[in-house]
Amino acid sequence: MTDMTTGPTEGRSLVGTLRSIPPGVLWTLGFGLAALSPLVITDQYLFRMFTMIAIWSILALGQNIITGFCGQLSYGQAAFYGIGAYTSALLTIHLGLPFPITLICAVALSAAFGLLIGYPATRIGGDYLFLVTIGFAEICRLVFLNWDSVTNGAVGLPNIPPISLFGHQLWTNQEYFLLSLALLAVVVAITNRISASDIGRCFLAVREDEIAARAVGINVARYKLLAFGLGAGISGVAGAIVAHFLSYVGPDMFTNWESTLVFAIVLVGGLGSVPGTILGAAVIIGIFESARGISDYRLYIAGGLLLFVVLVRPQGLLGAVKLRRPGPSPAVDPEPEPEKEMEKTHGA
Amino acid sequence: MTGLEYFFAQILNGLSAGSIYALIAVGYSMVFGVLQMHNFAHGDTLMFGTYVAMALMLVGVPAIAAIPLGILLGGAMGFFIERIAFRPTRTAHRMVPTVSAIAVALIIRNTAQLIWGTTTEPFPLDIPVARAEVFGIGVTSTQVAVFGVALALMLATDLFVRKTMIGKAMRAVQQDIDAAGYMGIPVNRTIAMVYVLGGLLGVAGGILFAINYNTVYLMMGFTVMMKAFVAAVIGGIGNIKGAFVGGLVLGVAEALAAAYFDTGYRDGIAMGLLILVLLVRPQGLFGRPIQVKV
Repeated sequence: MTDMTTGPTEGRSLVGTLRSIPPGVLWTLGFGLAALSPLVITDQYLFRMFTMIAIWSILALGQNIITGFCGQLSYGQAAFYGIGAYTSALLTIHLGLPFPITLICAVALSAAFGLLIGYPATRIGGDYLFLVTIGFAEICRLVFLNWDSVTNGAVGLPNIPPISLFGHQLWTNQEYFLLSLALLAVVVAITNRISASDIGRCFLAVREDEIAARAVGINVARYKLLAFGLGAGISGVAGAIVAHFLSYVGPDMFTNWESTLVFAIVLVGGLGSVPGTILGAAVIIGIFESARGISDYRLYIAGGLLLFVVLVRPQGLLGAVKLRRPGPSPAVDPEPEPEKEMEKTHGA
Repeated sequence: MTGLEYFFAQILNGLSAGSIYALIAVGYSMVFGVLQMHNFAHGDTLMFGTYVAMALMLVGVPAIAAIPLGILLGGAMGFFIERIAFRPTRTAHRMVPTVSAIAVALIIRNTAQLIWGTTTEPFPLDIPVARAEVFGIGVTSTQVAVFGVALALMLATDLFVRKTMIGKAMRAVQQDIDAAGYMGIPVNRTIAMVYVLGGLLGVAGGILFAINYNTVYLMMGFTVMMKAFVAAVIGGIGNIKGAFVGGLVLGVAEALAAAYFDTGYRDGIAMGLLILVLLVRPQGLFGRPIQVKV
């Protein structure tokens, strides 16, 4: 499913060469090089951008599990990001818990909410989940804004202590970059592992054709829920880091705009593609972090990118999924590969 | 004012707000029903049309002309949204039209933001507001007018859909798009008409909302669309009578929650109700369970 053999021939040589290297080696090489970058680059501003790209990559990988792997439209990822951020911030401020524990709590709580909102919506067909996620994100924003005694309302929580690991406090942007990179590596490893497992296959089946998936005995509702739980938990990781990195959380950080950004990252990068998600985050967060003056036009940019993706390049930059209608039978499938397979089996 | 009078006053507030949700829900529900696709740009269409009506009135166009112009613009926007976001993507994966609609919504919202900014404006309709007391409960003429206009528009829509040829074509396309095509119904034109009707009803609802609360703001479309969707789900999506009842239920629930609980969470009530309905009666109050056929 994930092969790109239908791509243009001139691209095939490069892609082919890359493909002959085991992906594990490529990932190790990529993360290794990124981890060495502080030896070469010293610019603090650049590392702020790199850290944000790593954080948004984690956030978007969560969305990609839900939307890319399992095919469920979700447009409220900011909610899980926010839950993760507030959880880690509050546990650090009030209880002084160390980061690994606040991180685990943030992930657990985000995942629990992912399951909670996924549950009612899986009871019926259609795209109800899509609007439920938007509404849930709005409720979360309202709670962050109005629950003054806990979230400090519109003012938010300033002066969140920095992350402290093994008795060492993280202060510089480089240190935060290395930490986010390490967590991104873990998330990438988990995501790759899932996509190669039987769970990943079931996600794929649900995405491609729910009715067919049900017919072969896949519990569709359970896998949708699982995708929501996993995706929400992963996005919680991003929230836990960003709270300490910016040493601030407030309701303005978790609005519909943040959900739009994550959504755009996943679609531009490519649904179901892990490297695509990171590339999408690099492109989109790179644009918005490096040119702050364009904030008046940010919806144009996001909207334009989304329109470009769906109308011109539906599989995204490095997409694994071609957004075609699930065909009733392979005979009308526009892709030539499965048809050949069919003929072979029929001939034999 | 006694406790009971306060309670009934809140119910009245809820009914006038709810009739607006109901009106928008009827349009949203029809647009959703025809292709089973969420039109995420619905909310931003109604926001834009309301802003245009406001802007026209601010430059001196009388309300009697400015409001219909805003509503007509909503219809035209519905037509173009169908052309840009839905028709080219109709044969694609069902995720694609939703994404293209989000893209169009963001572009409309950014345009409105560049023209009118992000501040909240009053709606410049200067009509004298009469107050009356009915059994000790205060009623304003605005509330009555909003409720009456919303109800009249809904009844007109219901008649249009049931009695006219275009309306019958719409229902046929909604039931079976292929069979409707074989019967000689111009499917593309009919679908476009549904989007036009959705846009017209949307902006009409948006302007009633602006009059009822005397406010116009950038995110009003987003908020109102979510509530209209919830109203449509409560009533059973695709069902005009259901959307009407769903809108009123939602409006009253919101008004009571804001009065007795906390105004800050007013906009969250809709989502709570949505989750409750999905848990208890997923097909809505008046809907039949949808059976997907292969």
